[in-house]
Amino acid sequence: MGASPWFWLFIALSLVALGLALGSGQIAWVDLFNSESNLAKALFWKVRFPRVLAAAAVGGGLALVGAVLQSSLRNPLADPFLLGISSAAATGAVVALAAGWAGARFGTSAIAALLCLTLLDRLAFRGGSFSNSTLLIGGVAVTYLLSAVTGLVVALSDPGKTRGLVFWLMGGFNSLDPLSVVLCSAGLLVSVLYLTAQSGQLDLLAAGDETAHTLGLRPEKLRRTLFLVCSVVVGLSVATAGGIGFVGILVPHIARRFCGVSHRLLLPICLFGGAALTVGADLVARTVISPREIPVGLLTALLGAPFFLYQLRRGGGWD
Amino acid sequence: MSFCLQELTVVRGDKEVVQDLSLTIPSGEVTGVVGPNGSGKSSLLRVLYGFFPVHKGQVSLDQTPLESWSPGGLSGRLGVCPQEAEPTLDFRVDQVLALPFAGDQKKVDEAVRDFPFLRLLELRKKKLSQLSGGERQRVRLGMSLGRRSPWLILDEPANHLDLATAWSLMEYLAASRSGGVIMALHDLATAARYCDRLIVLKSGQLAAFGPPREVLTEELLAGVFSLRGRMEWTGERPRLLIEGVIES
Repeated sequence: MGASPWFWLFIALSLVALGLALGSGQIAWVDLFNSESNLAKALFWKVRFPRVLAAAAVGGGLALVGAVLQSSLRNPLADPFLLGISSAAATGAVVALAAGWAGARFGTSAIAALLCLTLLDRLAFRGGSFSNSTLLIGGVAVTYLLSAVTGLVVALSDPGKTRGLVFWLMGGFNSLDPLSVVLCSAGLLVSVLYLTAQSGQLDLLAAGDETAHTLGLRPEKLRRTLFLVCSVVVGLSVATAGGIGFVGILVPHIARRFCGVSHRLLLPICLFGGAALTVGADLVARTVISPREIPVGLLTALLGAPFFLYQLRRGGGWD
Repeated sequence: MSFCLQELTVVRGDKEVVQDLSLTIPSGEVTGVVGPNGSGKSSLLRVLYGFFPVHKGQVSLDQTPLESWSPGGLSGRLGVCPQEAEPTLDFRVDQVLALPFAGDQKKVDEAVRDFPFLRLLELRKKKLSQLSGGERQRVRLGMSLGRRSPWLILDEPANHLDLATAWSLMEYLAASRSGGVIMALHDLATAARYCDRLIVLKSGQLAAFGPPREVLTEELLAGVFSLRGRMEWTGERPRLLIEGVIES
């Protein structure tokens, strides 16, 4: 059952329905179709719907990117957060936000993510061979460096903006503008179409550069395009929702237990599983201490990290 | 049908790992590449299957330079078994075996059936991480032989294999003369028995090229392999008699 993308689509759709139905403000369904009740309509279409859509797009996107990075770098630990790519995107976005160009944050975060990913790739692939440990250590170093840069930008920015920036960095879907939602969903749609078309190639890439080469793939070329797509998705997600951690590693890790390394199944399962996880986490984040909210990024880390440790303890390993 | 090398030089880092190599490898034969560690055997094979670029000179397959082959065209002609597996995600064996066939498990059934000596049936549902070194080598061989390409390029194909499997493999390779087989070997007795021709490399340079009987002389064993000894050619199975090592 778990190996079927349809099962995960069902779970995701169920959570989306729940996310649309529940919230701190009560919306009666009849009001949505009643032309006189403008408040309920506004609440639903302007607040709740974009929020659930953005959560699904960000979660699905991060899980998809996690799966693609793990395969193209052949490292089960590769994740936009652990490799510092999200930190780079956050730095890019915070610089734009602090400078007062909120709209530019999508571009700056995607570019920063791409720079970071390219740098790590150059570090880890040298002389035709690839070092997993260099990749991870490089990622840790980049994360520390960029967290410091982000902190510095926040500290030096206008005191009126500081609280907003800090809350945004913790990750959440509470301060959405329509532009974010549209950009994030559109970016995800394009990436999903591109990545699903590469399923077979990703299978080869996951088997190693030399093996892939002997089977007619040119790994460097494909990897470069994949990095570009991943950077755009991470950039858009971070610019939309700040830091939502652990989705990119948790979801592909669980998905692989069901379908192994077959990207034809892995990618859709990650997409739907990631969307389900984030929509669910956001639902919890905005209802448990309503009308106040927990940042979703903290919630995914609070849930994700212990689950991960439990998996390790059980001896399940990384794959 | 042949591999033609003209003044081939291969550079890795700042080292010339293969220098000025000119020879023609005909199809329909088993060609062995031998030489001490670091003599450039794997580098030479990697150039032949297009993984390492040609630095100077030219390599052509069937009169067409390697650079002019499309990636798919070249991979369709060559069944390749690289030496060591790189780190990979944890595939299931049947998923790996299906990689050359875009996931088609029917083709995997055929490969499993056609190469009984690799005993792939018992490995099929296991994960790569559960396999021993020899079992992984059997999977890699299954991948390359299963494609039934005109050419086979194998880097130390008997690595980690138990003796029975290694023996069956060599007998299979020697019997399948439809295309060409090029393999790097470290065991000179195996090379002498199964290869029609040997390419002997020393520090990236061609030390000798020809039938094993002509090539594996006492002088060559001493000069290239630092061995005091000789080949014994009585009977069907050549033997290598080692008396000692020449200290440098």
